[in-house]
Amino acid sequence: MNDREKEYRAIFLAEAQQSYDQISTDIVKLERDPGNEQVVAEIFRLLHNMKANAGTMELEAIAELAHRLENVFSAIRNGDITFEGSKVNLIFKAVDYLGYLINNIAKPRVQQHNNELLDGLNEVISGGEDRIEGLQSEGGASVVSNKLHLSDSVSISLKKLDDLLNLVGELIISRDHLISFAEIIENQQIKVITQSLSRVADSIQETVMTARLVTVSSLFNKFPRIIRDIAAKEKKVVNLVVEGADTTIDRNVLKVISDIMIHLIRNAITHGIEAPQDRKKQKKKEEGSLKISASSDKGLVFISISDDGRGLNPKAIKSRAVEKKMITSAKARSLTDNEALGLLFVPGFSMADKVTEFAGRGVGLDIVKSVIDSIGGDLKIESEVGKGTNFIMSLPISMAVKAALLFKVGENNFALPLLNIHSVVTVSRRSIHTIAGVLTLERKDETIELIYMNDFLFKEEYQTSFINLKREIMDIVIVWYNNKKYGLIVDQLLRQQEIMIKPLQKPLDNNHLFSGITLLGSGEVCYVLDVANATKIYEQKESSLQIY
Amino acid sequence: MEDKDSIALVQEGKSKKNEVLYQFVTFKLGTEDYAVSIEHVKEVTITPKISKMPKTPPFIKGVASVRGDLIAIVDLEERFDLKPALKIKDAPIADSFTIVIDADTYTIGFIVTEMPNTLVLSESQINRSADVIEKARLKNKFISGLGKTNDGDLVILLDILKVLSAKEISQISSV
Amino acid sequence: MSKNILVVDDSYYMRTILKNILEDAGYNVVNEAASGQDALKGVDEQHDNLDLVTLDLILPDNSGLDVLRSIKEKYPDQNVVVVSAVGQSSIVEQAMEIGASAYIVKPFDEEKVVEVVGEILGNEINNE
Repeated sequence: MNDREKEYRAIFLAEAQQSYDQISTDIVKLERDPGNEQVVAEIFRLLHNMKANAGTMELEAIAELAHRLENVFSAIRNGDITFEGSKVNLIFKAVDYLGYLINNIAKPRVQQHNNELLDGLNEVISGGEDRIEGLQSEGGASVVSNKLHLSDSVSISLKKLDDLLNLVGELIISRDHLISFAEIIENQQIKVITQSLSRVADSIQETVMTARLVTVSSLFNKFPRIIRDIAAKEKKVVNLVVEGADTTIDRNVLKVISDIMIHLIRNAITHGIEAPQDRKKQKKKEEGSLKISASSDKGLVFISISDDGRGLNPKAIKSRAVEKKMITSAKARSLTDNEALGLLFVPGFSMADKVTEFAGRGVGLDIVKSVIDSIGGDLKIESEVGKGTNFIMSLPISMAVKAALLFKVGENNFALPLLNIHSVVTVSRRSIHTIAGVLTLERKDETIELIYMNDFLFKEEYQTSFINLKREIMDIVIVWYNNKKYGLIVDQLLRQQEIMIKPLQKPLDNNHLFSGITLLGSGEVCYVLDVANATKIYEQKESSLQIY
Repeated sequence: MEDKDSIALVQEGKSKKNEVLYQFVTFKLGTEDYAVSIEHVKEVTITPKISKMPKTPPFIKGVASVRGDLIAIVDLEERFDLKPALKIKDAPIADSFTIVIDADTYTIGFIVTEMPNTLVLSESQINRSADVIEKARLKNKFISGLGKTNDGDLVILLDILKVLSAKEISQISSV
Repeated sequence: MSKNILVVDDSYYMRTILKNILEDAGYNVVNEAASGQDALKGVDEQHDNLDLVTLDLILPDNSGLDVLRSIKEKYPDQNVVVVSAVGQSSIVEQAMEIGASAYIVKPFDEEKVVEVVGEILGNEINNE
């Protein structure tokens, strides 16, 4: 295969996979709304292209199957047949097989006609006559063409984009150097030049970042089909609502979360949403609702998966944790409901064997959580017994460059990704108390555990006595991990800034307290705190403290 | 030349007597003179500003930026307990030098208090016999031989990659 | 001077192939369009130096035949070659009637495309 053939094959495959996803979504739509002419026209057009393109690629099995399916949808469009009854399953099967052929184009052995399917499709159109007349397709499908356009433009290798992004990171660091320098020497001309350089650097960064972004729809499009299959198997009725499918996110992040989302969706249908008869008894709509929504704000993407099923029972979770000897019953009593839900993220806490009794959705959540942690994201649960559960993922738009809050502890600079930060508060010493050896902050209706960073980071044994807190006014960064809030008392808040995180090199790479380091414009080193591990280390120390 | 691999073989030249020549960077740790093959030395610089990394052992001085590269800086004297007994106070880090070592997959620097030098030794000036190595204070596995300079001074030839990849250094920092 | 061509197809794959074939043959693909609307816009914008349009018939927004009709009404001299997987004679006849210069059925031979386009554009040697 020469280079051009390879390129054609790659383009064909990308387009065919996308068309297949779209067709899969569309036929589910059509099943609910068989008279939707726009959807029929779109399916027809996609199949038509696939037939022609596969023909050019000499992929006969795909071309033939697409052709027969095209005929079926042509007949549906002409009103000769309707998308109903036993035909539907056959068409679903045929589309599945089409996907199978597409995903295996490199395997000639797979590229075989499935005569049973082909004959079946012919029977669907009684008479089997080619009737592609009235080429006037309906309007309104332009959204799809826009989407095709978008992924068209990502024909540059990701490696190159990654390299480019790294270079941009270097550029940003140099820019920050220059800014600091300009401030020191107080030269007006240099200041002006730096400002314009700064703008250019910013827009280059933004352009490169957006070049890596794809819409979440490329993933979300797969869900209707998956949900249909799981629901059918579980004998549940599920109505899917998708919001914000045009939200953009880094392709790598999307790749990482795709399995997680399917896992959460499966959990929601299997363990969350009740069987129709049970829902009826509870005076709920027989049709369960599953809502998947995406949105972005300030460099973060939020994806939530919420159902209106059984909900999670904090009491049950607590007693399970006690039973598994993960916590003491005294500790269990002290946990709030939200903190109890956080226990689901602790490794080894699987609710699998208690699912029915518990009404859980907590299967394998520790794994889900650790995957999200690994890309610097976060997962929160909100749940109400009998009402439903909501999983909220906060994700970085990009993996390499992160918006962060910078602060000082002692002489050192530290950064905390904004993603992990709940809020920043300034409090007077009076509102800080020591309860059973633990520093706490009383706020409104909640009590937040505090970590005095200076001691935590620099003392051999972490044990904060009140004496160390000399200042009257203290800055506290409140972070959220495992559904629990922690307040980090820092020495000095600096500013918010986008940082380029470099991984730790040997021999420092065993230090899990930090996810990386970055160089500030001043030339100073700044350590990026890993909230997940920092709170874990803190918890371990806390529990060892409580022994005496 | 059976131990050629472990010795720092850098720049091979021929002396007048047609002998193989090796080039080293020499420095003082504690009271002894040491040498590492120049092949592994990326650069020698005045020690830059170091930022201590929390939760790392004392001999890891911290991280510093060397030409935009963020590298760990270690103190081998402290690590291997080579500090001269009579020295009461450490020389200020700012007046010291850092030898930056290119260790294949990463870069690392170590601090020396006196200005390092370069040294060329011919094969005949290097003694690799086991009993010589035995006498050195550092663990033998880190030492590839003993060199004798033209002035008659002794220098210990270090296998710096082995030193830096030693368990003692690579696994200490886990929290 | 090299001849200018606009390629209209809603499939990126198909556009890439056509663009490569035409450019290899020495033509200049000045623009690509993935919808009927973009096609009409492209023709409007570049009509003065546009020598030929290749046009797909099944497009997301409107029918290729309608697009063909609009182009020919506005610019009767515009060369349009239909490149479509639709092969029924009734459609081919309709297209030719509206004023297509040629009709190529997908999947096609590369040589065929070059030959047809070459005939229409007067077989000029296009290598600059």
